[in-house]
Parts: sequence; C-alpha cells; structure tokens
Amino acid sequence: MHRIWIIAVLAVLSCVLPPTAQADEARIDDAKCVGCHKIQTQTFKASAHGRAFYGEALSGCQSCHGGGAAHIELVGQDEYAGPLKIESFKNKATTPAEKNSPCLACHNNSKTHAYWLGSAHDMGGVSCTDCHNPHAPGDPVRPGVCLTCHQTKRAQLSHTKNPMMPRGDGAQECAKCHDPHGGGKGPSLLKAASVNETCYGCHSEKRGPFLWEHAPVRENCATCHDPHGTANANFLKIRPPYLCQNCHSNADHPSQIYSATSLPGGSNGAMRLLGKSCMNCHGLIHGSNHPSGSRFQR
Amino acid sequence: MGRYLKYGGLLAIIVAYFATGQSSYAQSQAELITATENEEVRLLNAKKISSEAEGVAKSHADISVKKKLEIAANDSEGGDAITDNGKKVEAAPPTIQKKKHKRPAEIHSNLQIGLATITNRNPGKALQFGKFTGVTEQRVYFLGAANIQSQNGRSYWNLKADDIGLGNQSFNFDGGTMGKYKLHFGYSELDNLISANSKTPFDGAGGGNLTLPLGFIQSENTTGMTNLAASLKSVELGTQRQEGDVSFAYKLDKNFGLSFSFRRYLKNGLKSVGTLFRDDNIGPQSMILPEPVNYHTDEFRTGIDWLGERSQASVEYYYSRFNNYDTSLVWDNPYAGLYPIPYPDQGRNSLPPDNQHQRLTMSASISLASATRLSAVLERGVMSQDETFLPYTINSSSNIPTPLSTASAKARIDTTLYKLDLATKPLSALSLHAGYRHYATNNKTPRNLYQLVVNDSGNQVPITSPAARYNLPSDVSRDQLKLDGSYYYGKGTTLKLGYDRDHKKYHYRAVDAATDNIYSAKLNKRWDAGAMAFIDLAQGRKRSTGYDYKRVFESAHSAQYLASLAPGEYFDNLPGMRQFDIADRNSAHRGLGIAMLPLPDLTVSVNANRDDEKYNASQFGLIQRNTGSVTLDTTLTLDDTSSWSFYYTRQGMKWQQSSRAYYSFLKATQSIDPANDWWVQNRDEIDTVGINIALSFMDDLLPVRFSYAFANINTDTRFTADAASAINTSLVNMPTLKSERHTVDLSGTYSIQENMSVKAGAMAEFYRTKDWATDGLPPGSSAIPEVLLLSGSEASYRVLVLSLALNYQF
Repeated sequence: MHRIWIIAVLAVLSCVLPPTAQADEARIDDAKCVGCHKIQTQTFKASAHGRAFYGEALSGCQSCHGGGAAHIELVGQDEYAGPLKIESFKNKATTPAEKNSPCLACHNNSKTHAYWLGSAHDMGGVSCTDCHNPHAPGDPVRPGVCLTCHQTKRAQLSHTKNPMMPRGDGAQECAKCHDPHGGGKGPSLLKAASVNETCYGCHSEKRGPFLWEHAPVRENCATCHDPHGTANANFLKIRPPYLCQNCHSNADHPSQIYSATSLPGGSNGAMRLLGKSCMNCHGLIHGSNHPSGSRFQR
Repeated sequence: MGRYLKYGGLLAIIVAYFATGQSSYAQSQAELITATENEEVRLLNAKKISSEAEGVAKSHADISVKKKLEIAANDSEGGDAITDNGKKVEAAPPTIQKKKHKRPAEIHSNLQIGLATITNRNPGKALQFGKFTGVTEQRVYFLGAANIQSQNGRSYWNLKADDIGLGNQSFNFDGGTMGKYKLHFGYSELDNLISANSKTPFDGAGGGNLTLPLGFIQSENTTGMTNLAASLKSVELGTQRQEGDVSFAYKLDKNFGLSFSFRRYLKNGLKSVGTLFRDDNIGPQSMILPEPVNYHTDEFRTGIDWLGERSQASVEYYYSRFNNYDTSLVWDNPYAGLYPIPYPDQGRNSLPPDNQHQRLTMSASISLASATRLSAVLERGVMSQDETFLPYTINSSSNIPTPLSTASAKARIDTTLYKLDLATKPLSALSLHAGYRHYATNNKTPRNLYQLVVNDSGNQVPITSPAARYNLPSDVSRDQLKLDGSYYYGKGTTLKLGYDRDHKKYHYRAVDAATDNIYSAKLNKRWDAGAMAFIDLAQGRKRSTGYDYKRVFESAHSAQYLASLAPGEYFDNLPGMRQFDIADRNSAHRGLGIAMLPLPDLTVSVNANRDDEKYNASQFGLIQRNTGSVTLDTTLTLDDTSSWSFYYTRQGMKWQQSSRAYYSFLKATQSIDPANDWWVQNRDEIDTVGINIALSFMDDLLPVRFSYAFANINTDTRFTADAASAINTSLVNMPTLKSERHTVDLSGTYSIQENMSVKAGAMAEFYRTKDWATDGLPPGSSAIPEVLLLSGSEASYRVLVLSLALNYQF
C-alpha cells in the first residue's frame, strides 16, 4: 500500500515540473540536409509526413533529428570517430522515452496518440521506431511487426486458419481489434470497451440482447473462445463436451463422463460426444429469443 | 472513419506546429549523443562518400530506383556505401546488429495480372487451404492487384486493389489534402468455407423452410429411415461477407475537425445448427440442419474533434443496426414416434433477431506538464432488441393454456464506461502510470415466467415443471485499477513493477462479486551489441464473495416447482461446482527470454512463458489449467535482399476438470456419493515451424523467396475415476486428435526491364486430420441413431498451386 502512495505522490509532483526548455539554436537550413540525404528525401516526399511537411522548406528533418549545426560540421572529417551529434534513433544508449520524444512532440496531442503515455507498450519500453518507419510511403507499419514480439500469437495465428489473416501473411490485421497506442477503451488494448463489443463489430448477430442469455457468453466471448487460434474448431479453448462440463453438472447427461466407450460401436452416449457434441441439441448456445428456448434448443 | 479522423488530426497538428513556428521538441541533443556511436560516424563517412560521388559523377535523377534504394538502405543502416556506378565503397563492419528493411521507393504505381492453377491429389475440395480465399477447386484462378497513386503537394489519392477475383478481394480508394480533408471508399469480400461434404435430406436449404421429399420414411431413429441415404443432397456450408464503407473527415479550422462514416456488411450463406424433438433424457431425437445466413448490418459514425496546443477532445456517436432477413427456421420432422403426445409434424427454431446498438463516446486528454498526461473517456451505450416473439410452438396440436405474457422480449442492455488515466515521466528514465476503468452492462430486459413447450413436443409445461423458467437478465460491472512504474537505468536495463486490481460484480450468477489482485515485475536488459534478456513474473489471487449455489437455481425456477422438491434435490448444478469464470483462483505467470548475436548479422532468441491457474475452491468443474510455450527464433540478415529466418514454437495446454455422475431419479443419494466422481485431463501439444529465406540473384534482378510452414496439433483426453466405482470400468482414453499441415512456397520475381517484372510461384500444401467426432460418421450415418448428421469428416488434401503474374510499375 505504501508503494502505491509513493507512486501517487511522484505522479502528482511530476505534474508541477516545468516543461522541458525548448531551444532552436542548433538548427540549420533544412535544405542542407538534402545535400547528403537525397534518398531519404525522395521516399519521405511520398510519406504521410512528407505530405504534411510539404512546402516547409522541403522536409523539416530537424524537427525529429534535432538541430544539425554540430552534425554538418563533421562532413569532411574522415578520421572523426566521435558521436554523430545528431539524433539517429538507433542509439541503444538512448532511452525509449528519449527516442519517442521527437514523435510525441507532434503526436502526443492527437486523438490517436494522446493516450500513448502510460499505455502498455509505452510502459514496456517500446519505441515508435520499433514498429514505424517515419520516412516510408504507404502504411507506416511493417507487415507482421506485432508478431516479432508476440511470438506465441504468431504460432497461434499460424497453426489455425484465421480470418484475421486470410492470405496467411499476418499483415497489420492485429490493429483491427487492438489499438497499440493505448487509445482503446477496452482491456488488452482493445479498441472497443469490452471483448464482446469487439466481437460484435463483425458478429452483430450475436449481439442480442436475447431473451435467454447464456451468462458467460454475455459477459465475455473469450470465456470459451480464443480468437488468436486454438487446437479446436471455432477457436474453442477445449472441445465439447468437456468445455461445457467445466460449468455444467446437472443431473443426468451433463454430469456423465463421455470416454472412448461412447465412440461408434461403443455404449450409449455417442450423441453427446460426436458430431457437434452438446450442440447437437443445444444449437443456440450464444442465446435464444424463442419463448421456448430456455435451454438454447429453439 | 475514426482512422481518417485520426490521421487528419495528426497531420493538422504537424502543420499547425510548423505554421506557428513552435518547436516543442526538447533539443537537448548533447544528452542524446554518447561517445560510443562509432558506427554512426562510419555511416556519416559512407554517406559523404556516396553523396560526393553523386554530386560529381552525374545528377541524382540518373540513378535507378533500385540503386536509390540501395543507397538509402546503406545510408541509414551502416552497410557498404554504393556509388552511382555500383562500385561498393568499403565501410567498417558494423559492430551492432541492425535490422535491415528495404526502403520503399518514391511515389509509384503498380499493376499485377496473372493466373494460378490449383491441383489436389486427393479427392474433394481443399477446404482448409482456401477457407478464406475460395481457392479450393481444381481450376484456373485470375490473379490481380493494383496500387495506383498520385500526389501533388499535400493532395493525393490512392487506389488499391488486392486479390482481385479471389474470395478475399478488396478495393480501396483514399484521397484528400493533408490537413484539410480525407475521403475513403472501400469494398471487400471474405469467404468463410465451413464444410464441403455436408448432406441433408431436406429440400430448401438456404431458406427458412426445410421440407422432406415426398415418400421420406420417418422413424424413431435414423436406422429406421430406410430411404435416408437415397434422399441425401449435398449442401456447401459457408458464408461470404461483403463489406462496403465510405468515410469523410474534414478539418473545419486549426482546432476543429468533423468526421462521418457509413459501413454496410452483408453476410450470406449456410451454417449448421443442431436442434431436436423431445428432451426426455431417454430418447431425444436430434438433427443438424443447414441454417440460412442472410444478414446485413449498417453502421454509422460521426464525430467532432477539437485539438488545442496541450489538449484534445472528441465526441463520437455510433449507431449499428443488424437485420436478419429470416425470422425463423421451420423444418419437417424426419422422426416418428408416439411419445410425447401430440407428436410434432414440424419444428421451428428462432434465428438471430434484429437488433440495434447506439453509443456516445466523449474523450479528452491534456498535458499537465512536458511529460505528464491526464486522459479520460466517458461512454454510454444501449443495445436493444424487440423482435416479436415466435409462438411457444409451431405444433398446432399442443395445448397452451397460459399464453405468452408479453409479445416481445423488450431486451435492452445499457453499457457505461468511465476511464481515467494519469501518466507521467518525471525523469526521462522513470515512467509512472495510474489508471482506473469502470465498465458495466446493465441488463434491463424484463423478467417473466415462460411455460414453454419442450421442443415443439407435447403440451405446454405446467408451472410446477422444472422446464417452466424465468429469464435471467445477467449482467456484470467491472472496476479495474492499474498502477505501473518502470525505471530505465543505465545501459538499457529496465525494471517494471505493476499492480492490477480487477473487481467484478454480478447479477444472476452464483457469486456476488469477485476480485483479482495481480502483482507483476519485469526486468529487461539490453546490451549495446543488440543482445537482450528479460524475466517476467506475475502473481494473481482471485477471490469471490457471496457464493450461493442456490441463487441462480431459485431465480430461474417457479416457486411452485421449488416447493415441490425434496431435501437433497434443491439444486441444478452440483453445489461443489464453481463455474471457472467466477471461481476463486490463484494464478502465476513466468516469462523468460534471451536474445543473442553470435554473429554480427545473426540474431538468436529463445522465449519461454508459462501460466498456471489453480481453482482452489472448486471441488468440481475446472480444477487447474496450465499453459506454456517455448519459441526459438533466428534471423540472419545478409543485406537488403538476402535474409534467413527460422522459428519454432511449442505450445502446451493442460486442463484438469472433475465432476460427479448422478441421475435425477437418484439425485439426493448419488449427488453426494464420492464414488461417482470422475476426472478428465485434456492436453494439447502444438508445434509450429516457420522458415523464410530471401535471396537475390543476377545482380538483384531475380529476388527469390522461399518459405516453409509446419503445424502439428495433438490433443489427448484421459480419464480417471475411483478404482472401485462402476464408472472406472467403462473408461477408455480418447484416441489422439491429430492435425498436421505443411506448406512450401517458392516464388521469384525477374525484372524484364526497370519497370516491369514477371513473378512465378509454386506452392504446395499438405493437410490431414483425425477427429473422432466426425471420422467414420458420414451424413445419415446410423452410428448415432439419435442424431441426423449433416457433415462428415474433413477431407485431407495435397494441393499444388502454380502461378505466373506480370508486374508493371509506373
């Protein structure tokens, strides 16, 4: 509990710290950057940043890379072995916060990135340039960039045919549900306010509300499904009847055990194990609006 | 829509930033530069050499795009610099591993057209292969793609088309002027093929009325339906989604922006649904039917954004309406029987009802200091559904003495979200975050007692029946507190500590509330050479309050039924069963990772994760769950066009659950007899391998890509019971479920000329699966006479796809 108070006090104190001093003394004419960095200039022109900076003395390189006065003095010093005196975003001694500072100078107050500070990726030490190439035309996020860190998700998406990656290339589909910049309203960086509201974005037929609700379904689709991929059909975490029997132990068939003796040629019970298992009869398991549908059978 | 609004907002800020000449970037360059960046000096020298060569030899416009890419990549990545004439200028080898990404070219457009053929050495369709693309049959497919761009200053437009002619084709147009407006039109399709080997005796699949052919022989079970096999007709199960959307975002001035979007998506096709007649636990008569999917959903969003110098705010309204063109599914009864009376000629299922969802969201954030941000979100939503009820039964012979008390459900769920976050970086190395989030669903659907007709079979149940039920409008509210702190100290070491409190309150569940307290710590170390290691630990403790197994039971049943019960029978679920989503639980997460660079361009990493959950208070139900994964990942980057990567992931999941077998006629005695206890252990083991190799030949005129993907899934289900019990003698472990897929893909692109290339590819995929739930059970099988099956087992396949396409760049 004490730790919570210490953190809270630090957070409040930080609010009254003065903004970082801003100086512009080290700037040079942006056109001088182009003298060496012609290729960056060309690709940058076609990028979203390039369009935004259009007419601003070409590029505004120093807005991100810092003032270039010291840097340009190094040109011609072939034997020089010291620092480049420019922000390169590749310096491993620089903290993620420092790397992100130029980006957030503009983006910190935008609708998309206003919630970056304190987000899971910010607190996890992720830098903007870990995922983005600010010079690149088109979509700034490289294909599969999320999966380079989220490796278990990569395996899940790979071993399951997943509509999130219909071509199997795992491009930027993660962002359909998740907001990696922390702007989402739900848990786990979800854009929508809950797992279910996320799922209803495509599965609006399951939104209801229904007369007969299946309580765990109403609360969280992920109680039974893992949308990233599982060993079972329909992204079920385990297959029925065992999935259902984790919660249901009513008298008669829900409480019985269904082993291999219920397979074809075995004893009674096959109809609860084979085909669609429990859903052979309880087909409207996500909810029913039929007045006789209390057991999700109508 | 939101996406365009976001981009518009971002760009407006950037433009405003330069227009006002404000430089909010802290230019403390001296702090950012260290004396250890020798490789960057080499970069600078390389750049200088390159640019000098450019300046002296000839103009930059003479350089091919490919060369420009090379120079750009070397320019920033520290490799060899390349002069205009292609001669490499030796730079010192980099001492730090850098990921190399080919720089995109400047503005250009692309067109691709081609053909692909698919052959399958196995009979039937390669369903899993083309599940989402529709490429399942042996024929020739058209390949097409386009990316046409135009830019004039800050104005631009882009027309992009992918996978033209396939089941996942998409077309998108984007245009606008940065900082002023943005317009988008989109259209896409997505197949979802479910089954290619389904058969049903019913006519009319795809509609809401399924009829049996004349002369169909009804029977008490499928064995007696002697002309069933002759009556079966093939149906393909699957859906196609078609989606169109348009959006427009406009900046009113430096501070205000408006946005609108409309999206319509259609979903059409067939899926399967299980249903039954009777439900007397002795002779239910089940059938799997082809259910029509004939939906459309409209979504509308509009919002206004305000952007200040240190703060921003937005308001957004969202409306969604789901429409189902079919209201019910009626089918002829293939079964015959005398009990219960009256026996139905037809059955009728409800289909997903039309529904609406509205949402109003307000969000705002403000910078209190240079690195302190306070943000808040408030959202109210309403989900509603009021479709007219179907009658209790389609069986006109059923006696219904008590009619429905209401004509519709008047179902409504209000949602409320409050979210407040305070984040700060009082030091560049210290990050602190505190967040509170409240999300609640308030289910306002009226409660009524429904004296139903059980599966259109028999008469309406009396009020004393266990089948006479009240609907339970369950809901939940959730309060989450999150406290995080991370400290980055010296040379890439980061320590992160966190505390999460997740408190939920329930209605119509067996507990009043449950609280999960989770403590976490992560230590991450990065070395200058690019190596890194981390250890990640979390411990959680979830405890519920007010557990009462009778709560839901008493809420669902009539007082007359409850009064009729004998002692020892006053429950539905076993009192010792805790439903795992609300059960007490101890959880632990452990993660460990290390990445090394044995060679300058070779990265090798190993990551391992394990999650354990133990449901302490659960006598029955889920008792324990363990999941874990290990990944070996390697990447070798030789240059911009040549790389090699490999990964292997092994996942394991283990569920352990328990229950007690008992019958209703001996409920009081069997339900308390531990000799009837049984346990199940379900274990999944999944191996996934991916190999990607990119090489370039003929002086980069022929880049070649090779990939191999492998996935193998094994699921074992094992059972135990008391050695002395009768249950134990009937237990046999399930056969292993298996699924295996190999995919090999080889493609090469040869540049015929600077703006034209030919791409050729060959892909082979092998898939096979074993599933005891469907193997040996074709549609109409008499193996389970109580179920009229629809789909058989999934076909294995061995497909080969050959493709040839022409790419034109302009």
